[in-house]
Amino acid sequence: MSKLNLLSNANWNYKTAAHLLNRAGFGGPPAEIEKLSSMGMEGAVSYLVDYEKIPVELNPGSNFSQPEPNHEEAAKTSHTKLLGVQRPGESDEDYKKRMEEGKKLLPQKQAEKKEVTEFRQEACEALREWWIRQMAYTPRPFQEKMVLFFHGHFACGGHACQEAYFRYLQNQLFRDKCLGSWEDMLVSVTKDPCMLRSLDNQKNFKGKPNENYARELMELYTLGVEYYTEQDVTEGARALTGWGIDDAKLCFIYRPEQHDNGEKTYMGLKGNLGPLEIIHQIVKQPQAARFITSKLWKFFTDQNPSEKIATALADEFRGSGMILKPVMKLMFSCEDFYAPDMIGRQIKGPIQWLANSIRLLERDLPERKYLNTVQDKMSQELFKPPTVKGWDGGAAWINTNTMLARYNLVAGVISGPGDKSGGTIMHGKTMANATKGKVEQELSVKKLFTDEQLRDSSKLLAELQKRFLQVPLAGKRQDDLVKYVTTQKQHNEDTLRTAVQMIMTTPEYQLC
Amino acid sequence: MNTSNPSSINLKTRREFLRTTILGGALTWSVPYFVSNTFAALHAAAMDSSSIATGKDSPILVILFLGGGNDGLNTIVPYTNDHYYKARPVLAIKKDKALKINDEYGFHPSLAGFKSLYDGGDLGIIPGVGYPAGAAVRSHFAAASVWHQANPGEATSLTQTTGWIGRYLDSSYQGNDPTIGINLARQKPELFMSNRVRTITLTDVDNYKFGSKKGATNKDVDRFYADQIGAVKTAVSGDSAVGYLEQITLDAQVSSDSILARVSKVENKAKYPDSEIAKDLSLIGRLIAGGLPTRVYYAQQAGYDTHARQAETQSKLLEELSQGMKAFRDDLKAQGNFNRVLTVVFSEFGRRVQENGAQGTDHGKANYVFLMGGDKIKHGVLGEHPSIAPNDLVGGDTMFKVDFRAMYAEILAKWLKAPSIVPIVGEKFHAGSIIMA
Repeated sequence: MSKLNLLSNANWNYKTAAHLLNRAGFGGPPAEIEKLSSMGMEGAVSYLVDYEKIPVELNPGSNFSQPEPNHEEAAKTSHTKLLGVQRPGESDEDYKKRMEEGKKLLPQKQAEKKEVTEFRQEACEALREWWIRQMAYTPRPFQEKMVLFFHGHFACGGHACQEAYFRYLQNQLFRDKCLGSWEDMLVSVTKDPCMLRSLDNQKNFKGKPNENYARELMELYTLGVEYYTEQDVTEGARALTGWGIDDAKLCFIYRPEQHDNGEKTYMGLKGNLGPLEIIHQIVKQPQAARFITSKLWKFFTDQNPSEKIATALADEFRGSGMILKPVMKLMFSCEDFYAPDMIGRQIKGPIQWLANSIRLLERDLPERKYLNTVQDKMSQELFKPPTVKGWDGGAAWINTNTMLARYNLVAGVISGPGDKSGGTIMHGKTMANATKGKVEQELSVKKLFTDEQLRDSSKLLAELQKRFLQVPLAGKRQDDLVKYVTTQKQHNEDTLRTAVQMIMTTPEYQLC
Repeated sequence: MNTSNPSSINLKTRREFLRTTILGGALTWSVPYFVSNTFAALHAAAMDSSSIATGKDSPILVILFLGGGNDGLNTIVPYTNDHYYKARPVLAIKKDKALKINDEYGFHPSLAGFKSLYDGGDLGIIPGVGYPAGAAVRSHFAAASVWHQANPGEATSLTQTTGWIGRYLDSSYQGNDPTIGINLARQKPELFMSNRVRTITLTDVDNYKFGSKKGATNKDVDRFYADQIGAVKTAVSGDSAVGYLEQITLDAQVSSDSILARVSKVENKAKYPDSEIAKDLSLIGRLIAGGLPTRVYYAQQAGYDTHARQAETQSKLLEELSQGMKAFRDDLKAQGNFNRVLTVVFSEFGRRVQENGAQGTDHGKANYVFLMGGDKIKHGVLGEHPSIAPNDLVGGDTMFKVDFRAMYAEILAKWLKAPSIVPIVGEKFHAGSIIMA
């Protein structure tokens, strides 16, 4: 039984509702928060977490949601195949022959390769843009937040998997399974082509085991570094042999002839173990329930859980059969999640900063070039995690370099194409509009405020604070903002944009 | 075959470490020092409290981290050793392809740059650097922490909340401006973690400045920004997330002013090849030429985790590394700065002697460390290569010969001239003569 107290409805208000939407989603304009606030705590949590009741349109681009048209060609035209270094086992004669043939074929192959590379790059950028669009406009923000969590947890991509199609499949896998059974998630990820490629399990063969996936499965995904032995790594690698990618069909395949059928001993279990048995054995470990729930708590709060919280979450998770949904509901319902030192203490990750800014400005999606710049300069490039453990997050988002980028990139998000409808984002109205593409109208900041607020500086300042900040501006910054807002004869698009830019160029705006 | 015992990592203290450092996402924000001592207040005292002058003749340390675990055995190839060819039927570098160092060892064929540094008397090779753990760590992250934290006690007990460079800066450079340490990786490395002295992260010098708008500016926003920097200089908002962000904004502005003033007109004096690591080294070259007071630079090259198809990946990376370092040497020599810069190259672990079935290698233990430097640094092969005879291996790995902390002790005492190395590497390690001539 859970030992955490639930937040009472008496303590449910605009502030707690805003906190929930910021953490379980990507925040939103005041109207949305007021709606959540009016639902009561249980209603609001259910609205966000039981999202299967809300229809969603995904509309993925065809260049990444379908297998690459000339995938076969791409496989053949690798430059290293033609002219790479002498391969292990390749005789000098063969190497020389390959070089000669390669040089002849090179111009044509280079052209083909370039085409494939450009296609992949375009498809991967389209995929990133599509996903950011989901995060910014989805009627199911919590689902997208969970996808973002698992994208960092099962960090893949980069060089190891360059096909947008595989990356998309993995992204969809997270979308489908993010609130379901943990064991099912682990089995699905183990079979996922992007993962099979990234951590080399497709090259893990009987008699020639490759330990890469076997180790990270335990260390990074399920238990942590102290909870397995080197024997579990080597025996686990043997158990995982035979699961690979069907290169023709571009999907998972089991190759029985490559599976090691010998006896293995894995965490005390003995037998001819395969992937399903070792995953089941991992999930049975007491640490398994604690590891992933504590990591989720940290993702959603930026803090390590106390012993009490870690135990309660693990108990809830174990008690509900290792299904993710109930434990997420508990997380968002418990008093601890709404403690005063929890609110406004998380540093927005770059993707959170971006989706949140788009939602607060109720604007259309910025141009792709801007989206790419934000990811690059603030250091969170989707599908390009820095290491196999994803992004550290928290205070590590911030260094002198990324801090300058956060300030410098504000101008780009408060200019550019605007939103025609001005409708509320939560119901997906903007989404339909945004997917149409071309928008003629310039982004309007003025539309965010009522005529009354535009006439009365103190009301305008209150609205700015309410919409854009979880913590009030400190000292000098507040004074300067008040001075700027109150000394304008009247507010127009330019003065409002300047005021918003000031607010977004502060330490406080980095927090949610 | 239980070759390692990861449970020896102290669980509780490791958690503690993660909770209290920036890498782990702080529970408490690491700014208490600035609550009572703002940068501005310190600046005046800086000259007095720095134990070593930060003038333009002071020694500089450049640390390059090869992320993922470089395969040392295919980097320095024992081309006459039968054990090598038996353990590496597919991956072994052929005898006639290795770039000869001596009658037994040669560089990987992609290391022509290293060969040239070696022949020029500018490269040192330390074999078998590691630590005496019965529990050498095979996790990338824990192993990297071992090297970055450099715990003076049990190497694998990850109980430090600071890194070895952070402790050095704390002991010698309190009150300095944050350009004392410059990180070129995207995230602050663990070895820079400190209690007091602040460091910066810089990846692109031309964009390392505040600008309210590209092309044009917004005067009101610029004034607002300048005002908040001015305000923070005299009062940081206490021990809070806001205080943490304010402090880094201030560090950014202070270092931006000093870097742009000194570096914008400086150009490299050698041509660097086109790779990420070469780009980082060329920026370090410019920063050194510009006369910054920086004592330690850090950059990293990722991608060495070659569990599969190692030959092509490692060739490419080593080629980029060695050509980049060669250009860096040429640049520093042309600047007249080569004798004051020591470059140290390390990786979190080496790889298993026996190759795996995917034309790759799995995680191992001890490894080579490379040094590049001028007259004061030893050159050539500095020590004995660990044996790779099957009977001498432990869990398939070579045994370590040199404790990395002894190497740090010498760098600190003799190169960086730290007043005391005890607060950094403890009492067990003394400056020997592994690296300094």
